[in-house]
Amino acid sequence: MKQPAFPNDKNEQSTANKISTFDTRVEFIKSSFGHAEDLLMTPIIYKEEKGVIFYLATLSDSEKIQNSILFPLIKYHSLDFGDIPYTVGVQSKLNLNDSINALLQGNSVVIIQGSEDIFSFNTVKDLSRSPKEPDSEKTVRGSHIGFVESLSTNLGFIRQSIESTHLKIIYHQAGQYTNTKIAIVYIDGIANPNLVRRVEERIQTLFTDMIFSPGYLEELVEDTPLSPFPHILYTERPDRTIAQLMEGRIALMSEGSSDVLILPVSFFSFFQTTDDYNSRIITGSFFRFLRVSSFLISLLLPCLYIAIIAFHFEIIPNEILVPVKNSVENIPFPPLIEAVIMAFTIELIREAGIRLPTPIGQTIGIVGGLIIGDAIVAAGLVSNIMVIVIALTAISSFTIASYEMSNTVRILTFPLMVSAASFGFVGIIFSLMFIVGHLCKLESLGTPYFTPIAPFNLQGMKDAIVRFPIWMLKDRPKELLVRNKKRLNQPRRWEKNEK
Amino acid sequence: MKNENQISKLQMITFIIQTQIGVAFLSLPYEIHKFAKGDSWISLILTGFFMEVLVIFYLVLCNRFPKQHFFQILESILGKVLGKCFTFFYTGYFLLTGSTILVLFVYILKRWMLPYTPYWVLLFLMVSIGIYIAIENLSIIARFYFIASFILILFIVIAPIAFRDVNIHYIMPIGHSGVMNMVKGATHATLAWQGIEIILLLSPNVKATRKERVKAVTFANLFITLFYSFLTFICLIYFSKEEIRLLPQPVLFLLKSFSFKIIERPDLVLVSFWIILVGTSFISYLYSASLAGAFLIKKWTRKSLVYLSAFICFFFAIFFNGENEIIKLTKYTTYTGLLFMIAIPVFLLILSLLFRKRQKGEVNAEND
Repeated sequence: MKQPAFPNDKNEQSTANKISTFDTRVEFIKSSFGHAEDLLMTPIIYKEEKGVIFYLATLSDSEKIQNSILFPLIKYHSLDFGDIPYTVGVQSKLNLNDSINALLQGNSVVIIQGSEDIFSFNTVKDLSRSPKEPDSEKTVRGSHIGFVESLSTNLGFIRQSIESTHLKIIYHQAGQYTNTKIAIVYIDGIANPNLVRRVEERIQTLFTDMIFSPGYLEELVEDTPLSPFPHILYTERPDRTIAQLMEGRIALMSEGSSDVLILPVSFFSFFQTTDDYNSRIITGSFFRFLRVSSFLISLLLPCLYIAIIAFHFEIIPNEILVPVKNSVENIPFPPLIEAVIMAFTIELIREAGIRLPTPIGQTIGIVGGLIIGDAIVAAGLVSNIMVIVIALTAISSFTIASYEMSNTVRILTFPLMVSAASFGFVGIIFSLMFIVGHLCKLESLGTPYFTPIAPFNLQGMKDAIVRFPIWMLKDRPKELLVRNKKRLNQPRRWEKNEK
Repeated sequence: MKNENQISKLQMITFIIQTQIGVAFLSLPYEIHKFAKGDSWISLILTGFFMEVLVIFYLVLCNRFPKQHFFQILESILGKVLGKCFTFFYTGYFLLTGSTILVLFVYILKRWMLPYTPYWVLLFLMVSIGIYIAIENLSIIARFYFIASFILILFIVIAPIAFRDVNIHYIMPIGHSGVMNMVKGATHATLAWQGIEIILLLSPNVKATRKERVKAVTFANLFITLFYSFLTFICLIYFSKEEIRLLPQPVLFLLKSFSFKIIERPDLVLVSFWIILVGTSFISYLYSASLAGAFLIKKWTRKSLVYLSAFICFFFAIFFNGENEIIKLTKYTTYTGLLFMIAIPVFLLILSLLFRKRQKGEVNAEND
């Protein structure tokens, strides 16, 4: 068979009068997608005229294109797409705007020189490989879908949810040997172009052998890798990614990873979950508040306990003094050693639980939690209250929505415990000053990390410690310097109409 | 980058407040009670009024040189050599005040919470946090100060608990100590306002119109005045004349007398938070000293001068920490404070008005 070559010199000359309209149509489609790189075109020959099949590689199934367009064309030279609907889902006589919508849904669009007709074929890819709910980000309500390991499928999820030409995908390749495909996803018209450019520059200048995991990418791209705090949000949830994109953030996706990196994010992004918005306003706010305070509890509880036992016994009221004294009296170790033993044990159980398969992991939990906890108190090595304190700390650290942030907290408790054991409250306050100072210094892609608290932003506070009603979250986060600041124009407009 | 160095109105307010509220306010009622007795709170309001006038003078001076910070203004008005001399004196003044803060801080901390911790360890902690924050640019320091300001709310909320058992007769009759004593008390209260001169350094970096600046600065001053007089007022009606004479840190003794269901000694918690307030004042002085130093020695970066300033303060505080020396040091700081905070700026303003000096050309301040 003759391979359809394009552009064909002979055809070009003979149909010179119609080139302009054909080319402008092709150009129109290309430019409406902003020359998106997943918009592909395959040249064909249809009734002796040249034509082109447009399709989004991320959404269309190339096998279906092969079967429903290319094979029939090769078999029957005089085939007319308009005459016989020879395959399911052919639409003819589309105008250009319809054809763009058809493309966005995953269809292929055929444009033919010399013909006014535009055809669309149903070639939507079956996005299978059963995406399941990510284990690390479970929700009660809302979608239960998670990203998979294929970049194009993941991008398909996003394209599916944001049916707009403003969704921009830029492909890059990184890793000299692996040539890992990395996609920068953002929404044109919302995301700040300077941020996009900075991310692109950072991706372009990666010179490494391989990018094998999102953690690799994170470390190479982020601003302050040595900081204990994460400044890039990992998510496996398409709905969360979409929400972040719509706020004006940028998503970094790489082939072979079900995690999407969202940047730039602020400290409080790590405490937001999809559930906050799916539950009622008051409960959602309560859960958010719970999570933020769990950060403080897990950070401060052990060191406060150590400081009180070691330095400021007088701060305990008389009623509590007796049980505390009874519990602590016969313990051979100073409170710091006690706390470190317990905290370390918890970390061991956690790590063992992750590395082992689920059934054994549970056994470890029981052995670790119940037996060690019980025996260590019975043996008189660690006080009752210390076990309670450390267990509470661990539980509240796991309440934090982000795995990275919960690890950060537990790591930070160690220096806090040491400073509490050496200087009491004074040590805690100095450590906190260092932590808060560090948070004030941190910037993620030039946007302040600890916003909306510092620099203070009242609008941003609506979605930080508690969640305000959705109709009150009218503006996108201020620190992102987005191009389109308004998120909602007239929410609950019906209220006016019904009056 | 110039843009990153700008602070908002709100940040300016918290910056001024945090710089001023430091070591002095814990012992303020005691210090002023020596002179004005039961009318100490009136003295403080008087000082507040006086400081408001001073602040307006500051702003008038700054508005004549909108894009220059204080040391550049000094040079523009007094000439190169004299300007540098004065900048040098100011550097010394900032270092002296910074050291005084350190000395008083460790003195109070050792008495209240950590009697056995070595002196230099506490100094070292304070100096290291000072360096950690002060080497950053202005906007980051301002962010930190904003968060620190929440602590003031804690003091404001907890102090009124004293109203349960107060005796209003302690301050009656109002005005019994006489105008002269009140004025005397007011002059001694200026130490608590020390730090207000930070306005002169911040001025070119604030994103605000002239009107907004006046408002912001007035608000800050009003807050300080009310905060001080409120705490003093509570101490005055809580402790009798004889008691207050024995209590060098009345605010803390006040807090110590409370007890809650879960916290028996709230003063320990509040002293810990007070450390942050002291820290912010110290950071401001480190920042000011390093800024002045960077203006004197153009070759050195401000960062390295922060280290140097902190080092000087540390050593100064290590060698002068006896009881008598602390009294002397406080005295010197108060007097030099009067000179550097009030006399020189006002003098400068008069000079600039007399000789019609204004900012010439585009000499921009480069605080970083």
